[in-house]
Amino acid sequence: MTTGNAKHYDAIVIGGGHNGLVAAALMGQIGKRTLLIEASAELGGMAVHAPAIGRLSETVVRALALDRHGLRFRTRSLATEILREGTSPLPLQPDDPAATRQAIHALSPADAEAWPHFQQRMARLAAGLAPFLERTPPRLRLDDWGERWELARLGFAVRRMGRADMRDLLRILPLNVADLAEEVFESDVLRGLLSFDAVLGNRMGARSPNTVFPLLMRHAGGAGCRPGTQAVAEGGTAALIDALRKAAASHGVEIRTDAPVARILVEDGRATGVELTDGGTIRAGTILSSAHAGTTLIDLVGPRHLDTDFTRAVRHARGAGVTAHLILNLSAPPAGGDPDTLATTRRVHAPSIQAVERAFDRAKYGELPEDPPFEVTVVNEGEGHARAHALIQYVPGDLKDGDWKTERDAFTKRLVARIEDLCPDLAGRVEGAHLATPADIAARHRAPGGHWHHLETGLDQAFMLRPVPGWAQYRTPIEGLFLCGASTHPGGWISGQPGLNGARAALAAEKASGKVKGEAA
Amino acid sequence: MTTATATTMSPAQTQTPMLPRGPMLKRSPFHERLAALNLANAWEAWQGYTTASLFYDAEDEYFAIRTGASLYDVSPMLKYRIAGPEAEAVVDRLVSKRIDKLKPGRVTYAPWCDARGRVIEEGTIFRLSPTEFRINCAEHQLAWFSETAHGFDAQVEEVTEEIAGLALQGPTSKQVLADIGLAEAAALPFFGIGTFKGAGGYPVTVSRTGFTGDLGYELWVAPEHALPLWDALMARSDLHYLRPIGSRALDVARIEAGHILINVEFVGARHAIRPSQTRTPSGLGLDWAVDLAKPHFNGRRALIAEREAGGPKRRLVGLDVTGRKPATGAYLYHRGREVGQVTSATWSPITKRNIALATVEARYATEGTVLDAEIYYMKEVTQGKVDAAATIVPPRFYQPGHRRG
Repeated sequence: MTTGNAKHYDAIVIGGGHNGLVAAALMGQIGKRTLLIEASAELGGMAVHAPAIGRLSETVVRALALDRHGLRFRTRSLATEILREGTSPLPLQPDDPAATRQAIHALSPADAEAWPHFQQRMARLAAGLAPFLERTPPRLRLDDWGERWELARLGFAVRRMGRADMRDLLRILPLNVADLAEEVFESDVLRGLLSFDAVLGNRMGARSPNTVFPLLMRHAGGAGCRPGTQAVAEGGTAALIDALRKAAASHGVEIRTDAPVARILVEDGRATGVELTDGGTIRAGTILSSAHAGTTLIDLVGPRHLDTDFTRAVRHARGAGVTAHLILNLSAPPAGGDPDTLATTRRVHAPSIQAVERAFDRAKYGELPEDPPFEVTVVNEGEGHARAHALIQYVPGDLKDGDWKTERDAFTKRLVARIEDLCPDLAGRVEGAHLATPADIAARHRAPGGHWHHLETGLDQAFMLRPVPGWAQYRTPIEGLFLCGASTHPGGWISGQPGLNGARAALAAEKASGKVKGEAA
Repeated sequence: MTTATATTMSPAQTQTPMLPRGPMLKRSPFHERLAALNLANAWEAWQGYTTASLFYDAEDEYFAIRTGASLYDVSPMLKYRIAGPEAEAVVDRLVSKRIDKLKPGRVTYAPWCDARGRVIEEGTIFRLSPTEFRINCAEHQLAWFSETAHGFDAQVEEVTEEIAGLALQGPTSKQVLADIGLAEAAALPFFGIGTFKGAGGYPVTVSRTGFTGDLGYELWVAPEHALPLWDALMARSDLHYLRPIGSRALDVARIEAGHILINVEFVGARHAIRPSQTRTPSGLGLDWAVDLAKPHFNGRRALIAEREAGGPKRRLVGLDVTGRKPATGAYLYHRGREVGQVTSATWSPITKRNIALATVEARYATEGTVLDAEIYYMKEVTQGKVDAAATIVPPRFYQPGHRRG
């Protein structure tokens, strides 16, 4: 079966996004002969759509010594500017609480007082959730001592929060963000911002249940980040991917791009390798897939190797994306601002809960919203060039009326006009615009639904329930096949955690089977 | 009572939701003939259809199965057609037997399981052609079959109402078939199936299958040919002691044959409220119908794990009970400790034994083990109790040689 150069690998990692790179680098680091295969010509996967690094795992940064491979942070506390119609933006600067307070005070003295308290509250609650977000979820098997220990550890982490915070967490966790925002703030723009942050990436409205949980995940922080903020790498997300690539290469990982996988080879319930679309086969004892769970299991493995209940659960995991990525090429960096601060601030347009909810309603029915909420980050690319990355929330992948062929240009124009309208400093500088709809993202990254977390990150698809209940330990029913992408806990947000946990699960399984074989011998 | 009241009411009043507007149960294509013969007027519901419990005397009907021939209306049985280029792969994914080895014109019997290896149901699978299968079962399976077929080039549809079915069972059944111009069908091998044209000129699909453990066939026709088929068969009734039978007579025969019944011996994995009520094929004595060496099928991993862990905790067994009181629902004890329960029991007229099917803890499931059965029975208006010895025996109590002859 093996073609030509029958090189043997210990592990094959499918998908060259950040999670695939993390998994491959870790496998290489432990001494496994590892091959990473990426379907497209470029590494980076969906990370290219995110200008900021959401929750990059400190463990990943340390384990792979990413600083030695060139990862530098431009900022670890991305600031926010709330865009306002006809008036200057409202700046929220995590590094300057006094200025932030003053800015909000002009709008609402009560909110100015509430803001820092709310930030601290979210940070405390998120800290209580942190162990859940980092660790491999337990399987609820109480006959296993390791499992009991894990549950005890998680229970202790929550208990340590104290009674008041624990009560608070249990109350707000399944709540909708609009209720929470209305409870805490009186100004529409802060309520709108909170709503936007809670729903961004997910197909949820401000009044959809369990939208507080994703908001808390945002506050869990990433590598060295101030709680509630995000980091931006020097050179953007591409620089993170580059550092990961270098780390992987330094551990001997072989990387092959333009190599789409046609199927994962399965023999007697065990993954034995992959077959590429060009017909070549590559064998390895361990396969890690950072691709979408559905792509991996339904398309690459195939239902004939899996139980009906399992494939049904995978097929029905929610993952219809509604976030589009709009790239604007700017003729020159916006005037007036210090060019260095450009990428350290994001601008958010989400004027109120109603505005967010109204846009969601349209998308819910497959329609394009009149005035979708969005977030724009301007990146100075040097030599007089700059780019604006806009994440547009509530853009359905499938349109009820018409299709993207006919709607794309008009919608893109409308978005550009709206951005220019709200950001006067960008007006007249937009030279070109490229819109990636969820349908484009789905096709480009082979992620059905085009959801940038692969699957929604509601409570019902988190932790022990991600990607599907009973299979949250990065294992799959196919022996030797592991998941290590955003479909697994804790999801997207460029944390690298799925890659890390997936690689650890693969190594643990190998060790366990080695032990069994050793005992038998 | 309801009908009597309804006749005195105005049409407006009969529209109240309390009163049904038509029959609650559907009638099978054979109903007209069955109703005329149902001297006992004893009916019961089966999967939404009216079906006969008995016609005149359950014992006589039973002896028709064992010594003559019997007709049992199996039209209410749920029937599914799975067809398409990848139909074989779908059925292979579904059931625990190798379907790639099942030739067109052959029937097999197999359970189908969920991912935990728990039996959802079991039934006969007809391979009508290389690309068409029919599965017969007792519970609705459309959702499960369709989900199993998802991603395959095959269609699943329910065809229950498109096909009328009659089970012709008993030692003289072969002769009955020959008499109505279906001699070729009568010569089908055991678990063979084919479509034939009898004296009536309409197609009759005949499978050499049945639920009685006796020589027998199942005849499948379009609903419009149901009555002509019935009439043709019943025209021979006195020649071959052919009798219509109800479910009571059939139940005795099926226990003698050792056939398990869903919702009696086990609960389907997708309906069970308590997981403890579900069974693996091994627990139901269906190891012979499971091929763990075949490539993946639903539940295979779980069944391999079960085997590696030493098999199921409980097993289905046959019991030979002393005395003549059927051990219906009897508790089974070993040295005073409860170790199992009877699921089906009957006095077996043909073997003249008091037999039962039971589920017992696996370590007591070995042949020859004697358990104590605590049998309760109605003694006019009070409940009586007898203790009897119950010996574990193979559950195939009656398997006459002529059934394959």
